[in-house]
Amino acid sequence: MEPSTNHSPEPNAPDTPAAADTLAFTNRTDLSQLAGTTEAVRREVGRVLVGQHDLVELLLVALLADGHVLLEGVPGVAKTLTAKLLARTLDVPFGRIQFTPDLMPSDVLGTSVYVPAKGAFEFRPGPIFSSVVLIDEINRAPAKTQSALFEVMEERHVTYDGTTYNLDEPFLVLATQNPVEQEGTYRLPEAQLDRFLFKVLVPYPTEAEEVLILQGHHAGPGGLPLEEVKSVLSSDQLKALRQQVRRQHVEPRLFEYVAKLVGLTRTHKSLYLGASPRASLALLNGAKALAALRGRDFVTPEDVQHLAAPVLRHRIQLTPERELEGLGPDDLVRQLIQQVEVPR
Amino acid sequence: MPLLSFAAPVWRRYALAGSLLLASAALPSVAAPAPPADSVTQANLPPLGPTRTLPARELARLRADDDLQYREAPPAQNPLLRWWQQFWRWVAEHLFGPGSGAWWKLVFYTLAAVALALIVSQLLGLDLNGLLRRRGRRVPVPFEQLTDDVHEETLPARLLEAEQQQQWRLATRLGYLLVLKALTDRDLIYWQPNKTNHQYQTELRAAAPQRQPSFAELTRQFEYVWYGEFELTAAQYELVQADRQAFLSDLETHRAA
Repeated sequence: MEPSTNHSPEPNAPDTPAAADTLAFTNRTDLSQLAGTTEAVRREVGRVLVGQHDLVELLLVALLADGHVLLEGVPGVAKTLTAKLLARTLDVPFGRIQFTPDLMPSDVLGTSVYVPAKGAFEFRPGPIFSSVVLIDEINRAPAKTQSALFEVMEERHVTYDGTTYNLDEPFLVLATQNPVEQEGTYRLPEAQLDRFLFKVLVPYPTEAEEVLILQGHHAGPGGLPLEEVKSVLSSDQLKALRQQVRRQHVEPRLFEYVAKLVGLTRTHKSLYLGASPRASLALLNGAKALAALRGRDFVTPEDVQHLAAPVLRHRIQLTPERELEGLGPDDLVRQLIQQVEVPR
Repeated sequence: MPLLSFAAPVWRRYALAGSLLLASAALPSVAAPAPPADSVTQANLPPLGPTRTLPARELARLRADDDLQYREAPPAQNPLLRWWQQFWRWVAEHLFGPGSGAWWKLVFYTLAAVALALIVSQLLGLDLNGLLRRRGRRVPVPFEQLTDDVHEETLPARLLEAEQQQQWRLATRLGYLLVLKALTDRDLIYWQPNKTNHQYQTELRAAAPQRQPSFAELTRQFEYVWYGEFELTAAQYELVQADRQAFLSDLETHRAA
């Protein structure tokens, strides 16, 4: 659509100014349904969860960008609760796997069992065959079990005994983990980390939020009112919203901006592992979804910068010297952003 | 009683050992035996034969033979190195030699102090421009990075050209860059190539909150037209232009005040 010179604020664009005689722009794609649905998801999650607005926004971005999310935080900051709440707002099958040190790949993917009536083996799908899968404490399972997720997370199918079983759409893995400093955990393989669209760090609540948590707990009947959370997004609706996100407009210079930002991780002297092209795709897709959430049908450098840390922090590895100096992945991402000129 | 027994006191044993040592030191010349008859001494050596000499010609030949020259050849001096040594010799003579004047010393120490100050300022990341100029720091805006070779100095001319050619999208962008430049010149924002427009809005909100809404509107227009690639008509561009000119003239008025 063309920009118009009407003098009324445009409903789909949050950036619309308050001034009266200004140029109004109307998105070429109607994002009203997306805005309404995502607002409903936020509202439902907010019935139980206090604060964590950035976390919820990133989860929505991942949902729209068709990517998996790794949530990292110390115990007790509502990682699992947030994942469960998001799953409840979606009207799709939900599965949960608690990763333990003795978990086997077949416990995740499924296994063949002998059916005497048929006189043959039959594949019994594992809990991974759900639309939303919550993998709790993913770093408590050894690498053998974690690597069972490689194929399913990327290619959305499971190959067992020479047969390939496709998963239904949508397929979203929400995994939680405690920081590696905690006892009894394994570091995830790089190949698996790369399959997560975002790694989101879940912070402690602010003092004001913690007061609200306490007040809610004190006044309530005890326990969390999870049953109050309603499903507000169906599988078909989600597919339609994802199609809209894929059609977001991207100015050509922004492709170069994303490529430069990610490419810099491969030559930076403080890193011995840079980000893969999959990271570039993740950054682009995430930026498109974030722009849609913010009511625009086009991407800006702001969207890219906002998502650079969640996309890159788990895909880069610092040299031991830099780690000893106390530099973290987020510090390095900030440095990278400062080194690349914003296309303008 | 024996002369020395193990039962004797320690001091007595040491005293006896010391006196024996002194006695042995005093007697060697007396006690030295005569050499045996068949031993070789200086006196009974056979006489030496005639001394043989090398012929002078042979000696000269050997001396001239390159294979027998064991001195290392002096390295060929690098002209640059030679100049560098000469330069420092000259500096030493003129500054610290007996005939050196106070003027040269003053020049040398001034230059050394300036160099030291520059190095320290670079290391600390200090901005010394403010010492020389009263106005805010002008940050070179790297417009040359852009594909169409827009240059800071030529920005107004390029904007005019784009307007004349009715390239409204390009004109919107150049106009927005002009606004950023004006804000930078007035120290209301701090230009950095990596910053986003919203970061500038945050800076302006802190520096001049009353200007932030109108700048936010200009930013919104720029983003929709440039990143969103919305096409503008002449009438629509006039609105963009009017907003920009109002913002810039307001900035100018503020500076004059």
